[in-house]
Amino acid sequence: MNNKNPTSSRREFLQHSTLAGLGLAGAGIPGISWAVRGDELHIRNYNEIVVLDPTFSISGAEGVIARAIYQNLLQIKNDGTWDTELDAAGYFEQLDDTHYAFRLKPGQIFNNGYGEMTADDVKFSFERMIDPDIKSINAPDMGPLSHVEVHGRYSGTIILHSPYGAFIAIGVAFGSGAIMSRKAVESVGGRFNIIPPCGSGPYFFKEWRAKRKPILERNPSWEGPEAAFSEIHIYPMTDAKSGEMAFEAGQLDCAEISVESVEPFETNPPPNSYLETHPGGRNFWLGMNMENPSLRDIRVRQAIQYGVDVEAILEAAWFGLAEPSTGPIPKGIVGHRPENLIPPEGDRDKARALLKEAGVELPLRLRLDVNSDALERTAVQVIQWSLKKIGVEIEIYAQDNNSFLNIGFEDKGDQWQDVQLFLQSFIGGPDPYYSIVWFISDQVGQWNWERFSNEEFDRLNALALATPDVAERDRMYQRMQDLMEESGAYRFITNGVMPYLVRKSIKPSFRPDGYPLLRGFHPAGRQG
Amino acid sequence: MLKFIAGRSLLSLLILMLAVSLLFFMIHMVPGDPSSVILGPKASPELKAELNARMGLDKPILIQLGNFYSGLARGDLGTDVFSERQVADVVFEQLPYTLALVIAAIGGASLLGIPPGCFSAVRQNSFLDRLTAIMSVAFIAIPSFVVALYLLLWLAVKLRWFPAMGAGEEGNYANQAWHLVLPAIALGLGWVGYIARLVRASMLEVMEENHIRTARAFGLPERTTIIHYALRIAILPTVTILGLGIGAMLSGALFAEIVFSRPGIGKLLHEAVITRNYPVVMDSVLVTTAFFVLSTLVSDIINAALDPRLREGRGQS
Amino acid sequence: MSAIQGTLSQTFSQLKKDPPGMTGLVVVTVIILVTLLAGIIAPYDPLEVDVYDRLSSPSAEHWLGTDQLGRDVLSRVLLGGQIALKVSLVAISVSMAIGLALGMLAGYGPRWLDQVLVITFDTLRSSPTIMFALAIVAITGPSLNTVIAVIIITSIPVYGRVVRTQTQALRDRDFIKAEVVMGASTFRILSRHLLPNIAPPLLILASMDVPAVVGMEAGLSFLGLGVSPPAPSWGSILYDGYSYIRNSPWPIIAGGLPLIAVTLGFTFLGESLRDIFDPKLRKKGADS
Repeated sequence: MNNKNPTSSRREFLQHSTLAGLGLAGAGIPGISWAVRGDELHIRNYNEIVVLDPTFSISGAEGVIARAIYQNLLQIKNDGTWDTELDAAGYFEQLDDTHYAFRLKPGQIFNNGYGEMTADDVKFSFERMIDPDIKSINAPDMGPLSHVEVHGRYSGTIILHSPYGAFIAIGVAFGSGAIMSRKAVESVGGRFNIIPPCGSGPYFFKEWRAKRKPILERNPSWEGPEAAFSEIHIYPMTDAKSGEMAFEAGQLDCAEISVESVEPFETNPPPNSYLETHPGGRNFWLGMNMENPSLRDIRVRQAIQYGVDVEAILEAAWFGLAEPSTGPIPKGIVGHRPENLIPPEGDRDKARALLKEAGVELPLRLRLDVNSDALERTAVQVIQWSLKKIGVEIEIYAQDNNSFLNIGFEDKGDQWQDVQLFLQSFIGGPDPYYSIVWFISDQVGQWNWERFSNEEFDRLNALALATPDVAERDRMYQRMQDLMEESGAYRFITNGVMPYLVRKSIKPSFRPDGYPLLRGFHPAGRQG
Repeated sequence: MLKFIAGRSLLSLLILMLAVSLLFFMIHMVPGDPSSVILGPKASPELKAELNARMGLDKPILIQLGNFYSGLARGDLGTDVFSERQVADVVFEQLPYTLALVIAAIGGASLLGIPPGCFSAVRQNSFLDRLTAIMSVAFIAIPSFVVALYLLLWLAVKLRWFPAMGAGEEGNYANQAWHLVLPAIALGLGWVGYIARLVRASMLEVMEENHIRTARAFGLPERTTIIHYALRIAILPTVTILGLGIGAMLSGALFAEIVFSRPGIGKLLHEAVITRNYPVVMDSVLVTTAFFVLSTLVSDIINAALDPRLREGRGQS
Repeated sequence: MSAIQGTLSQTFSQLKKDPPGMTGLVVVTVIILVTLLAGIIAPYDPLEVDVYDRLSSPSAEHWLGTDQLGRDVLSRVLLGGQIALKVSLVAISVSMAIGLALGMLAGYGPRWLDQVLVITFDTLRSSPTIMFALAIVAITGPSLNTVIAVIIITSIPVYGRVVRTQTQALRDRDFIKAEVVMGASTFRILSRHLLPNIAPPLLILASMDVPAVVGMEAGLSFLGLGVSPPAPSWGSILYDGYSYIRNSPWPIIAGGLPLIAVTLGFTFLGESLRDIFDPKLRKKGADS
């Protein structure tokens, strides 16, 4: 078994695809190509990578790779929760509201000859995130970070200007907290795009060419438990259907698939594989522009909240696989609400009564803006149909994502005034702050298209961010979602779902929001 | 003749520039800018403004157009907003996929279209002639993306005889050819009948000509006459029109590329418009329009060479 | 009145001798009738959602199955005809009218105007239609009217060019020259003499254009650039079908069939009519 030889694996691929071409793929020739492929992992990533420098990296697709090739002081535990554990640090402790002490494990080596990781590299990595000259797009992740004091080769203290409740989740253990080698980054001019000058994780970045798959290789200088795969091939495929086809052809060991494909794959699974479905971390909701004349009356907005049958939307667009959400904050994160104030199935009688009380002339005609993907199109057509039953006629305005993302912005013309209803979705993160911050008053005219402005909400947002106490924060974020729902401007739909096809030869590992954690992937039957 | 070619070329250049400028204006009127996609929601307005400035999007549109053309004159097509790669690289990386598709489609259509066209000309009003006439009309009319969808559904998803998506493994030509079959059929099917009709018409004309009649009179075998003499001459006008067809096929190629998730210039353009990746949009527009205009130009010139009447100017164009 | 009747019955008797043309006529008639009566014969409301009965196969209740929202595909296909018909009627008549005016202007007007118009036509035709469509739709947002506008803009040059060529050919004919000598006004020449000669072949061209226009509308809707949901355009039925291709083949099969029928019907009928009215072209065999 010589998996260093690329031609052999290519030939095996061809062999298998020819079999598939003859319609024999399902006829029980299990595992030819992937068994031979041995300890390589082939996996779909949902997008291409653009930047792997933590200062400008923003997409989850990049995060999937970054988590395997870099180390943070702390990392997300591989147990399906957002809890953290030590990574590069052998010791990490919060001293008080603004001081965090750390000590690195000795002997952690940056590859490409950049030597051992030191506390100075930590200082460099954290401080460059907030360096005004670099203008990192991810600077907000660091909150009120002041500076890092180095005490010795391995130890130091991170100092904040003021308390910051999301610091560990977002600043330390997530993308922006990756520790880079000062020497390496400075040697490439202080910034890089794709190819990292070095890394220190269990894998290193071996190869990248535009439009093609990045390849990670087992890092020989890694001191921890040996990485499970000699190589990880990451195929960027924006279209889930391509991923499904590639999986069926034996090219992939693990691929996120589309929700509508779960049913067909359940009845007719590809050989040697199984389905795994994880809850997602993307918040889908129906928003209403509170300042639009037709929606100014809170009773009209409430009528729409009650008129929308969320269960039917989930059945049609998510094929019944996703759960109704209770707000932007998904299950498993501080501040998640156990329940909505308005039941997911709604209440048509109540909706009609509210409209009558508001004295609205029916049918009330409203416009609904949406991004024109198949899933969203299906969802809004259910909304349209269920609102028709209460006398509200919806005109759907489906447009490409880039046009859609501008409709609520005040600096993009006057169209924000005409916004009435819209189906929007934001990705959250490991801290509730990520999911909530878009709805404060300062965001009106930017991402807050509802133009929801609530003094208590704004105050709680600031307070919760500065509160280190978890139980306190939990209570505050729950209250904030109540306020959102009470405003009538939001009908929460779901946090989505991430279904995966997985080869039985693989034991995968995922974050609670459904993204793969490459470090945790293993060949089946072997634990690392 | 030289004067005609020069005049025609200048006109083509003018049309190309007008068309590209028109599209440039239209694209830049589109709401939305790439900075929000590139930088994501966390970006501050200042950061977005800075990125827009770096891409030259803050300048008046006429200046942007001027910059585009002056860059073009220097051979600099700009950089991809997202990957910061040279746009020329991005476009020319995708172009071969589309060319392979178009050439496979035209080639396949010729292989299938020339024999029945030939046969119909020789056996006028035979059953096959009439069948060819009907089939040719039928195939021309059906939208190629419907053909593509049916092929995908039947031969790829249902029977699994062919791969459903993508362009195949890099470097593996057999595999790539395998992936090319269905899209090429979808794109080329309409041309089979068209080619058959063209060949038939020009064969009929050629067969009337003296040397063919002489060849027949001298008792050369019918097959030799048809294949070696008549078809050789009759194929020329067909080839001219096929050249034109390559330009016209670019629209159809976009659908084939989308239905079969193939890389290619059509898919690149579609995605670039959606993501407002202006440099990529403009260069794919430039390349496809240039293709289109150039193929028209070449066929005009060839036609003029064949038919001197057309050179006189105001005739038919 | 009776003259028109005479022409019609003559045409019809000639059509009867041409099986493909006759088939085309039958298909077109059936499609138009079905489309006009779609509201009555459709078994269900094409917008009625039943999410728990989605993507079902053909059955006694739903002859062509249901789509991802549990809507009756047959009813949607039937109503889809109305969109196709509306688009082709509006787009073709408007672009033909404008193309006629501009084409006559180019063919009869001063030479500089001719040059300007020809360059404009060529510019509009010089990039693949779909690119104009992408740009326009991105600016104005997808809607039925945008689709119609795109088709009009890209069709005007086709009609304009044909009309221009015809006008130029007629202009040099003796009977027009005689009119000019006798002092007839330009308007009179254009409307009384040129128009009646240009219009009939143009109408045949227009009827043969129907498949292309229907195909374009469907193509744009298939790319998600056409009618807004939930309108049941054939193209959007195909778009939905493509998205859910693994779940059920029926929406794609059902959405494609009427497109094939319409294109075949109109093409066969149009070819046949052209042969009847314009026998010259028949000899040439291949056309452009």
